[in-house]
Amino acid sequence: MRSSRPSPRDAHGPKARETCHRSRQGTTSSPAAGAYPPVRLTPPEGRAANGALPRPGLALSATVAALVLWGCTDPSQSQLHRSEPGVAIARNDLERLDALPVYGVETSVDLGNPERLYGVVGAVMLGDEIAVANAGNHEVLTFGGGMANCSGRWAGKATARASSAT
Amino acid sequence: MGRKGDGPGEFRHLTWIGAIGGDSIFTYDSGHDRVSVFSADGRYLASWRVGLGLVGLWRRVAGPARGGDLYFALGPAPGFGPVSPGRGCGSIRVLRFNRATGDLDTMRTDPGQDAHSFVLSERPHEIWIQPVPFCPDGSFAAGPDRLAFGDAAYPGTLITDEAGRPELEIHLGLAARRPTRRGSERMIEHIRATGPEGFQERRDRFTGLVAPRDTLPFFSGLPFDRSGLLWVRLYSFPWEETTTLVAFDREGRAIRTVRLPTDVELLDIGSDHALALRRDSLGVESVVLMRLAGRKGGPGVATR
Repeated sequence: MRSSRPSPRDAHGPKARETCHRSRQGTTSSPAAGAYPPVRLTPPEGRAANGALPRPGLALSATVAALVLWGCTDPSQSQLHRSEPGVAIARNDLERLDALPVYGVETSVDLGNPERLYGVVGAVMLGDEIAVANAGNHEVLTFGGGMANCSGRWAGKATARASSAT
Repeated sequence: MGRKGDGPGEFRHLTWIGAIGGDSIFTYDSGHDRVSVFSADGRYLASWRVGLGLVGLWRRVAGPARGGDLYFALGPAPGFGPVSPGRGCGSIRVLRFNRATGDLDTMRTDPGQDAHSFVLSERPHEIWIQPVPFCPDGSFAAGPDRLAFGDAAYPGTLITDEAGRPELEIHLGLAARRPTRRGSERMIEHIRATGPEGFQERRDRFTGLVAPRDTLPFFSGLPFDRSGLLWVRLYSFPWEETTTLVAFDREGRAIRTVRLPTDVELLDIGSDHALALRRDSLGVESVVLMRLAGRKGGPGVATR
């Protein structure tokens, strides 16, 4: 699907290209820097890809969209547009996402399977406690005691409760 | 707390859990069609019959919203019907359950006639969303004063206020990835959504760029955290090691990304933690609490 047409990013000129170039470091599924294929923003020969003639103003609007959407702005900011009264559109392209701070899993604590976790349909934090909806046994289990102890086991495992609620 | 049965605080088919503040646990039992509330220490407090009935091919529960109201979304199953950009492929019916009064207005009303606006019912407890290009992907969330709907056709996310009035659409652009010699390659096209011409334009460009069968829903799962941030999980392929979640603020700005292992199913997320369900190869379930920390690049690594 590569196109010989110039990339929309090229339309911004050398200065803009330099600003737009961002490190792809840290991404696992994105191609290497500069490896994005040029994106065809308008159908060839003035026709839509399905062969239909474009509506008047289509090429212009596509060009404007390209300039707006590929513009070099603060990567932390999305672009807000008004599409209809009362509705804004926020655009966040993937390059901007890649520029955001990445949070990963620092520690992970497994609550284990205290005899009965089966059919878990949800869980929520309640302060230092965790409430788990365990549909298999028609109950809600709560786990307390905070984060992991030194062994990496859930410190509050022993406090799991499963009492009749009546 | 709870056990199998039909009495107060007992469950037949527990399907959802949520919390309000730090002291109340909400549950929804689809078997009884009933919302029950427990205190944090496990005491049964109250329950209400919701009265949804057997409508909709799927139902999602979300909330609690302000005042403890819950929202129920009913609609076609994800992927049901023609999924075609520029065409509507379903509608979502949203009901608000008022915890204070136990009311749930289920009267059906006609969707709006304006094809390109998200005209909703005027009834305060019922919201119909059926714009022509809207294709619900089954994602639904309710925050303190907002609702969010995933749209597989754009793809994107529609944010409304608590009455269902549209406020914001979030688009990350249309994305598709195809296997190449170097692995997975992501192709991106940004789209406009400014009216009938915009929809037409988008459809043409969509089919010209990649075949529809190669295009995958970009969003799935839409939880709000307690601070009001909307967390959207981007689509990930099975062979990818991590899945990415993006937090959007009230103005729709992406402010943070989090990478989690793909072998877990997210249950709850906050500013510094994520709760997830993990199944081992034998199907044994466990709940995992993950502490999140910032790092520069690199996938999230689960350590035990």
